[in-house]
Amino acid sequence: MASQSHAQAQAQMHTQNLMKLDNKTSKRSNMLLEHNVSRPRRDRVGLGAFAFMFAEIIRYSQNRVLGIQDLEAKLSEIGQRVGVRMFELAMWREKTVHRETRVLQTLVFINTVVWRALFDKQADSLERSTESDDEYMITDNEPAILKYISVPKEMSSFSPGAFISGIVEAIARCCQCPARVTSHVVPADGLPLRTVILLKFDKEVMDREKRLEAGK
Amino acid sequence: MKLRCIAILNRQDTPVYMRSFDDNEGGGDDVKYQHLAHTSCDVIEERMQKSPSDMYLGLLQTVGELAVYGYVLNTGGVRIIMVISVPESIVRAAAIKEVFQQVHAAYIALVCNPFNEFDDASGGGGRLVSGKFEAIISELGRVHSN
Repeated sequence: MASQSHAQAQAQMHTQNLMKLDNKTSKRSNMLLEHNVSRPRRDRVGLGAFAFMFAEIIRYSQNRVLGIQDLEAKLSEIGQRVGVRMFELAMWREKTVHRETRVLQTLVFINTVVWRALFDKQADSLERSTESDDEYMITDNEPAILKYISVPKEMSSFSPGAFISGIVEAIARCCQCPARVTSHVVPADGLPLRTVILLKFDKEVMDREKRLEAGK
Repeated sequence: MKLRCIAILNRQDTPVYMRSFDDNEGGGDDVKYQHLAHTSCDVIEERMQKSPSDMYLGLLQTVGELAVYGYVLNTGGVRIIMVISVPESIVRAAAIKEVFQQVHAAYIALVCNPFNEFDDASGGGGRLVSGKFEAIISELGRVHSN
């Protein structure tokens, strides 16, 4: 009797799981059917196309550098060129006149506006480091552009998120809060690609923040 | 409204782009517009302080038969200056704003070009060189040349 009810319960859970999956796929296909045919969204690039180009960028950089630090520096430089242009474009699209100059506002701007413009989602978390007060961390649980990059074991300290950290560094500089930005891969359970972008703001920026806080 | 000159200055007030629409004389008039751009810098600073929530700065100064209007980009200190001949009829601010917005859009398109080495972050004031940008500015000059 007990085993029968147990089997029934299992069967019920199994069908429930199947229905959940079915729900998800049917919802996705519904959304696909509701896309506008005559007016397609032109502001999106297919992940496959970008992954192709990004892989080639990494290979191109790798042929021209010696060492992991140089590779990260080169990717960061390429990211900075993207960041400068992204900043102009994002501010143009926002149509606001107000420009962020404070540290916290700049970080929120990067987290929301820039991430949404680049990756169609917001960054997952913004934290302030507990050890030093000039370090902040932006976390992205699953950076889409790094999905198809697998780092070999002998280069495990290399983080292809250096491209993203270059973008963030350029935007921080354009917002008058220059910082040294690095990226680190910090896998958590179920999220092997979790990337943390660490920003270490320059001394002048922190001094200016202190003065502005005191002046208030 | 007869457009005479469009100039773009960077944050350090160095002219990054200057285009004059006088089709008669040559280099002599360019100097005149450069001088106008320089004298407008202080007025720009003071207008920016006065109304920080507006990109369009309005009429900056009038010199003889030329009127100078200013516009600041929202991404830092890049300024656009427009010089027109003083019109007989009242010129609406909306018309001037529209021209500025078109120049702004063309500038954004220019900066987003990955093959353009112009790097604003260094504040170096490199010259802006681009065929499409020149074409848009020429078109603006042609449209507003009555």
